[in-house]
Amino acid sequence: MELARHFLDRLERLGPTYNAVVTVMRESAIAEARGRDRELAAGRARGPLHGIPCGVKDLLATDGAPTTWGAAPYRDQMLKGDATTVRLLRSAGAVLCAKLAMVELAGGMGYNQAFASFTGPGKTPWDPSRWSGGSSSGPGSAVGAGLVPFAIGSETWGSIQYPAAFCGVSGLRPTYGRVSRHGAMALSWTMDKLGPLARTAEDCGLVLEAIAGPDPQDPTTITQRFAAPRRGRLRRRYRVGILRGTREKVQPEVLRNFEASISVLRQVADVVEDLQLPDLPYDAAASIIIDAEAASAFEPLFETGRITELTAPEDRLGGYAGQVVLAKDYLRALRVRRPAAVGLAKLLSQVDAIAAPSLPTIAWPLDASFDKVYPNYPGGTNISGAANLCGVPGLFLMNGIGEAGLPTSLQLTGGALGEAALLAIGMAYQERTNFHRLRPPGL
Amino acid sequence: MLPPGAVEDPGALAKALTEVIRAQYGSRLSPKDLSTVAQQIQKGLERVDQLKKVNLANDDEPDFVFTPSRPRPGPHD
Repeated sequence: MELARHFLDRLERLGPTYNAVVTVMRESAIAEARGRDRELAAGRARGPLHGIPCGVKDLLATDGAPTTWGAAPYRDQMLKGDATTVRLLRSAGAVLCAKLAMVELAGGMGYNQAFASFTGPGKTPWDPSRWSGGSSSGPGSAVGAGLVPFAIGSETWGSIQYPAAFCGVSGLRPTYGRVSRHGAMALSWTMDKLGPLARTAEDCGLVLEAIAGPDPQDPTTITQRFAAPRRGRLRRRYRVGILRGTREKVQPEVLRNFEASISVLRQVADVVEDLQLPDLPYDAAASIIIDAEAASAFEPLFETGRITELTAPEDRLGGYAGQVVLAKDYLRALRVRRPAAVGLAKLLSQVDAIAAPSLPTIAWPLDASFDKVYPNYPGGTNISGAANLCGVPGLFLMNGIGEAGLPTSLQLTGGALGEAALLAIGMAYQERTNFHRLRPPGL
Repeated sequence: MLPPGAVEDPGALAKALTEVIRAQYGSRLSPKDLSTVAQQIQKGLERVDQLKKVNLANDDEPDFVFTPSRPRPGPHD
């Protein structure tokens, strides 16, 4: 109860500073925390999440609270029932304290600026004049500012990666199908993934263990259960690969911190250089799939004209092109996906993880157009499109301080169902470094 | 050759597809809006051109699996 009150107070007091929160659920959270206290007093502990406060991105349905999808047309939307992930969190004993802010419609309409949510631009706690990253903006900034110990975000393409990197927290994008999407807003049925953002890789594992598993209400869920790796139990020496071109076109501080991270990883892993991503149009296929699926998922917004109520001007126009993706082109993208997944799996079978900077730069200024910010640092080889198209997991870890005192981040990409190895490597990295213990200035 | 990230002017197909948008939603889109939409459609078609460079055989299926819905067991099953 005391813990829940502490975080509820922080959510109410500091949430607005970062535009991190949509709804604080004080009443229900206090009731849940009281129930968990009673259970503990009776000698019943549900597990490591028992009594731990948390938040969820406001695309997960929760009975009794609005589920806004970050978008003005849905700001009063009340959905019946809880998303499977919310139900599983509560079942594991977690106390749901807040629905957290997000980029409208999870960024599916092509936003090009931070001000793309009816709750305002997400701000990183490291410098509120900079973007938190999106679309899981609230989960990133709320965890980064210590408003909740962990949160659930979602990633279709980059939406856990960016806020984890820009807010200096750990984030895990699970394998597609690891976590039920039932009750989550659909942007792209074949690419959406739910995953945790937390202070450490270890915490991400504990949360994933609670929310992963088969769900009859989401036929794409995988039957295998997930067991989080335990601290200090490295089972073997790992293999970490680096793609050719990874070090190109990134900020000098990002490169410096990446090299330092690799030095640390060499203590627990053999590092294989110069791997090559098979030459396939991953990003093009991912874009076409998302455009076509989002066009169908949000067709009512176009039919009713309520698309014009979105916050970012470019979001009011960005979805029309998806309305006319030809069926044969969408199907071609889905057909290209199979050889892409096979090729990527073959590459990833050589290693436990591919390491790269999560992003080529520090957090972007709030007032910047994304397509014009840091033009000299577009990044070299980018595995994000391939990883999301093929549904493989990724772990994002703060790995240092870059330009302007802002966090930089390391990403580890693994093969399908390879979360345990990613987390074990991440935990080994965090046992040897202190970046996950750093706090934003003034917090 | 166009610089990276640049988009070609909308071609005939992009213009035709923009007319589909105009027919469905034109009442709320200005000529400038439609020009932006045409550019975005062109960009999408350029992505399709990238996909066409991947050789696909007749039996390379789309990567989704359809499962027929089974009738729920009735009282006599």
